[in-house]
Amino acid sequence: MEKLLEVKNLKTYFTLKSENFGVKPEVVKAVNDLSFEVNKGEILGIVGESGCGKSTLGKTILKLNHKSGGEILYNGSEIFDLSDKDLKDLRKKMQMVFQDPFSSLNPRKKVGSLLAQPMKIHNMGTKEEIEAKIDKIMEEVGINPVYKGRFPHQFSGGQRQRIGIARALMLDPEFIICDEAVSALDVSIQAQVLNLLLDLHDKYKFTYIFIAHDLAVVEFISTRILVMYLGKIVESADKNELVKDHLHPYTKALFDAFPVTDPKGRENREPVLMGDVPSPINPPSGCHFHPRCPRVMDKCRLEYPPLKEVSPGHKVACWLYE
Amino acid sequence: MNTEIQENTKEKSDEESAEKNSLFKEAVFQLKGNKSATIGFVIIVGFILMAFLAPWLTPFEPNDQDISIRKTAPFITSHILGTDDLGRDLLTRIIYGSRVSLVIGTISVSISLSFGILIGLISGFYGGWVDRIVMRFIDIMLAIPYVLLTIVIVALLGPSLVNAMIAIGVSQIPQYARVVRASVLAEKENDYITAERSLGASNFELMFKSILPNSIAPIFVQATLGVGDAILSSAALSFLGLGAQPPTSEWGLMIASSREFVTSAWWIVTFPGVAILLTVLGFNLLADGLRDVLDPRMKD
Amino acid sequence: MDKDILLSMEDISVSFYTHRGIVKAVRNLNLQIKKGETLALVGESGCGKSVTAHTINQLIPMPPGKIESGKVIFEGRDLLKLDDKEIAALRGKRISMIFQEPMTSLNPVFKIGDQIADVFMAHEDIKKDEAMEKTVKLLELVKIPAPERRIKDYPHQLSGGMRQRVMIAMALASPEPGLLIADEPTTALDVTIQAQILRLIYDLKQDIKMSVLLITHDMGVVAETADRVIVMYAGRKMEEADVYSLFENPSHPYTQGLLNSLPSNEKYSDSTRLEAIKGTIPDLLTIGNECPFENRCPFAMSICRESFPEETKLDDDHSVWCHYVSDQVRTHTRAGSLLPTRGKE
Repeated sequence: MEKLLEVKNLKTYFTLKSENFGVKPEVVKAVNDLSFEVNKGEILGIVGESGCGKSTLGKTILKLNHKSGGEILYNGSEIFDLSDKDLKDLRKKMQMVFQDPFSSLNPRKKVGSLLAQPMKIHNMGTKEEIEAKIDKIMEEVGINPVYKGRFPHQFSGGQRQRIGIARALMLDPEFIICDEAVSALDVSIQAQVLNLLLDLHDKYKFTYIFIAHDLAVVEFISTRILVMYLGKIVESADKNELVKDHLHPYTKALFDAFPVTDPKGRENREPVLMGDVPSPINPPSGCHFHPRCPRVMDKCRLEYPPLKEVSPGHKVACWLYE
Repeated sequence: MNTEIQENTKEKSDEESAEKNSLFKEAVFQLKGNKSATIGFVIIVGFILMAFLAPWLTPFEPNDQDISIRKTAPFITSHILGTDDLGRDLLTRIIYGSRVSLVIGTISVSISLSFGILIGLISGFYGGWVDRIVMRFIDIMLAIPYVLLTIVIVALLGPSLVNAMIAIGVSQIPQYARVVRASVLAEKENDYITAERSLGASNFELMFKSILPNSIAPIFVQATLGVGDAILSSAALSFLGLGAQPPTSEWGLMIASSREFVTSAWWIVTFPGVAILLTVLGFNLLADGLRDVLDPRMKD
Repeated sequence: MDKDILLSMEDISVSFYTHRGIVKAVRNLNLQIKKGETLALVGESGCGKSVTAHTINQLIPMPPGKIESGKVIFEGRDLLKLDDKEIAALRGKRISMIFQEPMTSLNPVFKIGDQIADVFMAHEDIKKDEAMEKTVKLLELVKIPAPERRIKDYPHQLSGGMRQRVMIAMALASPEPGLLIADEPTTALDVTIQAQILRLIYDLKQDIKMSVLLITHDMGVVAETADRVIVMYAGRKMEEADVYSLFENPSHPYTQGLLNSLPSNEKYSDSTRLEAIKGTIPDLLTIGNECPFENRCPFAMSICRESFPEETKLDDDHSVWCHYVSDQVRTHTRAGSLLPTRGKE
């Protein structure tokens, strides 16, 4: 398998400035020493709850955020070292689809000019070529090109999300990050958009990073899954492996917490994971999950466990598997 | 492709998704239903028509003096609003005065608008130390009383109508910069800015092509208010002898030069005062209406 | 009138008069909530589930909203005939509501202990100390850790899940819990926290026989907590059943489509595409008397475009409003079987 993206020891910290004098600024370690790879053509799902740093990670990979350390190698070159011109060229290949179809489209631009914008930014194609491309892409994402002259607010949420996807397709990218791309949609529309993303994947052999909090969605669409908790990867494995055999107590809790669409046997479900998701500002010492973990040991409170490969392709960061 | 073309593009019609046309048309539609905005709009249109059609509205010249008919009372002769202490027709002077006021309003607001937008945009967009330095400077400017600041600027440049306009324009820049900065800060958090950045758009494109058009609404309100303010300030400056110089028919100057007759010939002071009041009121009413329509927080 | 019934809505229609036209948000809806029962109203955005809930305690802004017809009978009185004062007396006492974002419904400037104690003191003639004691017990009941300390916290000091627990506690503070309306109570929460809150609602229901009207878009949430379910679409009731028969035998094409749209559906373990419902929800401005699902329904017939179907009873507590199902049932009954279709497998 060919590596497309390699992330090594990536860190993104944010400093929360305090308006009060004499108060030490707090640091949020949104992405805390992450390493993983993305292979060409795969769909890597990243799942985790709010504050786990999954969205920050996505934005940092596209250099829409700063990084505080580590490396992001795209086709072997560090994206933070690229010249402005090279970065602009790279932006053609990497695209993003956002969560909120209401705020991710400029409300003052008609669909036609929203879709023309990427090619104009990069001085690509003549006017006719751009128009032809827009028609083609709009058909592909399931929006009739006659609606080019409409504003985003004249479309429904699902259609706006299709327009967002169309915009990402305009530059023929090879790598797309979908950040909660279907979370804001109604289930029946969500299913349509997931199918669309998969159709496009089959047709163009894109590489996706699919970021979501919804385990069922990630499980359905991904070929491989990373589970994040408070800025760290706690487990990563191929989809089928992870579904069959989730090792980390947090991954287990996520699978257990997901509401099942079958009322049978709900009286005797497993006890749910207690406690709140801690704030990423002051994560618990040692393993960040230890205060909520049902299998906590003394060691967990002191030291963060390394991400260890327990079987080929299956990594887990938990002292239970040392 | 599994997804068929969807013919039915109509939005699910929840009560909140009411907009159908462009935002601008929507605003006009709502403005029509807004009473104060309509009144303001009518006053302003009247004011502008008066300025443009001045020579056709009155048979007299604004600076024609006739000592024999000085201080003629209003509503008696063909000089409907009477004459001033030099026998000039008051109505004519007021009508011509609207030209001066219109010019003052437009030019000084253009000055504050262009610099205010530039400063606010840069400060809000880049943030960090740029923002901190600019904003502290603005804070200092705002801490100086507005009239004092204007007087200082005029005193430095010398008293004349042009300098008054510059002074008013400059002293209003901080207000505009703040309004622009606030809406830029709100707007730049939107995903579409991140989206366009990820497409490779430059900072210039983001600032002027994406953020600015979307943060124009509050600036528009501020500018409408600003025209009224500028007219008022210019009248004040002229009254103090720092703005328009005689014999210009400027409303503030008209009040100033006849204030000694306030007991003997009340109309000479009163009618220019009423003209100022009506015009400023018109702009304020329209600005209020615009705010109601354009500010989403006032909706729902 | 059945004594077990706490609330019944009869033939409720609600419209919104916007400058674009009349939006028919809820049409001829009937529903009943029994004492101690959790009834789930489930559907996608625009289906009218929230409007229905807001009709009960009259939180619909009027204008533009207007209740066109119907009755809401609660403890023998028609709530729609009460004046503002009488409704206000019921709100928060006999009928409580919890919302998706609990921060907006808690007063940010008062400590949560005081806020709950106030509810106690409004109902009973007790001193502050006593009310505080009861508050601590209540917070224990909704499983808030260290309640003696938490009562001194302000709402912003609590996490989203904790705030939702406080809201539930407030709903329980009235002497005899009447009806709790929970409008998407877990939608803003993380999945592990959602599981906690759902478990809490489920447990409380067992312990204190609370009646709950649960508004949600999530079929998983329904399956975890509801006793009975009404599936709504574009302002209409499509299917009503007890929770077990609904998930065992979803009969309306829309209900089937909704369940098939879920990627968690077991049938997708080997599949790479979802069976999505095509198209989008119709415009509620222009919709007439047809079945609103007709334009997306795989089984649509010509009659579906003409009239909204009558109720088809599949079972004592399972009804469907669908021409196709009604046809199926008629033919199958003749053939001796009462099993309706499960789609075109």
